[in-house]
Amino acid sequence: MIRPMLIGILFAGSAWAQGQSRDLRGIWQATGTAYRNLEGTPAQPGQPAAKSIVVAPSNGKIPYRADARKSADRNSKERETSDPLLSCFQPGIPRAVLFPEPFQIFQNSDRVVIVYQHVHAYRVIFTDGRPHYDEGIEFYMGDSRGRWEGNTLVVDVTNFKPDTWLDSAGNFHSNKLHVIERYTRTGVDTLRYEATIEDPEVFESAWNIRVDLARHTEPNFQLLEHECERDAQGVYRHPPQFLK
Amino acid sequence: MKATNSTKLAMFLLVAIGAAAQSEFTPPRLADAHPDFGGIWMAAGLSAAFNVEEHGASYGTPAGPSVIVDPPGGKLPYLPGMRERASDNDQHRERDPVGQCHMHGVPRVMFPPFPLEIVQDGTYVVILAETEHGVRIIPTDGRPFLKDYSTWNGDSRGHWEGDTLVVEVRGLNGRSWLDQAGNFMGAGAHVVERFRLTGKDTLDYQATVENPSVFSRAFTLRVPLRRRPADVELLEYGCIEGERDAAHLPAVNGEKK
Amino acid sequence: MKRIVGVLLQILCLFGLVLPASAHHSFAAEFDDKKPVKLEGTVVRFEFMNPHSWIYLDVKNPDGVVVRWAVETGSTNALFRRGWRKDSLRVGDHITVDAFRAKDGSNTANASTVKLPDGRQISGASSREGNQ
Repeated sequence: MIRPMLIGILFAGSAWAQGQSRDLRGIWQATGTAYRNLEGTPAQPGQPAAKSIVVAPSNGKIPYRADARKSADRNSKERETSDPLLSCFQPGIPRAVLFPEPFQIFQNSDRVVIVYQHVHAYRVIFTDGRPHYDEGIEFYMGDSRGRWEGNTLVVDVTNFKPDTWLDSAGNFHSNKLHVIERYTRTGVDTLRYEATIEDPEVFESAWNIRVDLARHTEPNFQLLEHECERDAQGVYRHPPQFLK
Repeated sequence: MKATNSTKLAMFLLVAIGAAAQSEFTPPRLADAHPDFGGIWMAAGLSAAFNVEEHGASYGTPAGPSVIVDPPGGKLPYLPGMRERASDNDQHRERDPVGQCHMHGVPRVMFPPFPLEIVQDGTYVVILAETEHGVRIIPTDGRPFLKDYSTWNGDSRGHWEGDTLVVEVRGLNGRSWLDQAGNFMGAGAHVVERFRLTGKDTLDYQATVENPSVFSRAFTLRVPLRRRPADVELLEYGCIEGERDAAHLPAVNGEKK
Repeated sequence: MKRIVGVLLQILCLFGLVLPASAHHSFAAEFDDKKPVKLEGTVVRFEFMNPHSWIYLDVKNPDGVVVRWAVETGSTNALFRRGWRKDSLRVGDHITVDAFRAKDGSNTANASTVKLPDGRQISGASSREGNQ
């Protein structure tokens, strides 16, 4: 009885209308190339230059521990064969958010659901205060619990498996990764995404990234099914979604 | 004729009983006045996941009834030759696409022994399946279907008929099985589903399937869903990341229906 | 922990203590229920993941030769809902497993019961059980 009343109150009037700040619903996508490398990329043939999206520390560099930086460099050298996305892994956080594929946010009074087009990974983010799981289980996409601070959805993400990368360049983490995300509408068609990333086994200190996400406004835009499969020969493939 | 007190009482009771018999469950409603299907659900009976037709007990499979409510008799109305293909699948369960981490397809995705989550937010009804982190996004805004779409979970469009959510599914790739026993629908199948709350914790689910190249007529199956306890959450179900069985299965011949 | 136990109790109450045999996909294609094996050995690795968890076990044969077995459990999500965690089995734990051998003759098996280091026996670990 209470629940539909609460939903009614929250949906009432203009509270969820387009343009109002707490409504994150819609299909969004990062428009830059941070997915290649959070620390930015130099211009190369066929690839634009991009600035680092690391806003803290101010030098734009991920504050790796010395031994961990070596591992990141090794990942980068081997990325054509060892990127987990090549084996159909779910992308993890924040890689899924920055990836060049759309994602869709659904929300109601007690949860926010985000579905990523890439391998149809999804997250259910309860905003009713229920706690994280204990340490005894790990997820590729982590365990997300959210709360509102004003018009910002703050999502605390823990319980990560160590097997995902942060970007295509091989920036990585351990199972001690902890991400605190902040989603804030900055306009009718823009959503600012900020994340604080910490992992005491890999980084000397916490660091922050920030990007603006754009709404897909094309008429009738929808996520497509992006299945990743392994064929009988053990080759990973992405089957087409259309017959022609 | 003047009614006696006992006649009046009898009439009152008859009317009351009649009213009770006709009254249906009144669901909780969202602000848009549609019923609230939100929450975690799972098939009330798990027999359909094994075999949608009536089946006896066999290795690894308990006995179970048919979930096919039409045609009467509860058998899939296969065209000649098609039941043999289903039986061949049954002898080669290593070909089950679910075993290769594919999404289950519609309607199979609605009745595995794992929870589903339904979320409504006005324009969309989303069905999240725990299995293979499967997703069905169902717009209810009347937009057209995609053309020439061909995927595991297809392309869904929903609309309300009173308190029943009616979902039409096109664009299914035909590679899914209907159950573990190898029953199948084939490419070009067209599905119409009906979702209706019949009680606080029960959701009636029916799917009508048509495919004139596999079946002689449409058939309808019905698998009621039961609400899971309030603190159950979907757990992530990575599949292909940790899949290690394929190496021990007979070589899958890659042939898909 | 309380919440987890609460959920477990609710699930057990809903379905009774008799766990129906149901599976995500068929057990029969890979494992042979006419080839039961009893494996007693030491855990060398426990991978708590989907679609199945894997217990790697060093088993000493009667002739003294140590053989590495890979034992598959049922759905990890089902195990988690029954109270299993990623450290439920640790390297060095001595366990006994009743299982069914893979049809391809490899040292791979599907567990039906696992006896834990503290003596507890957990049934329903196999992929013949679903998510109950």
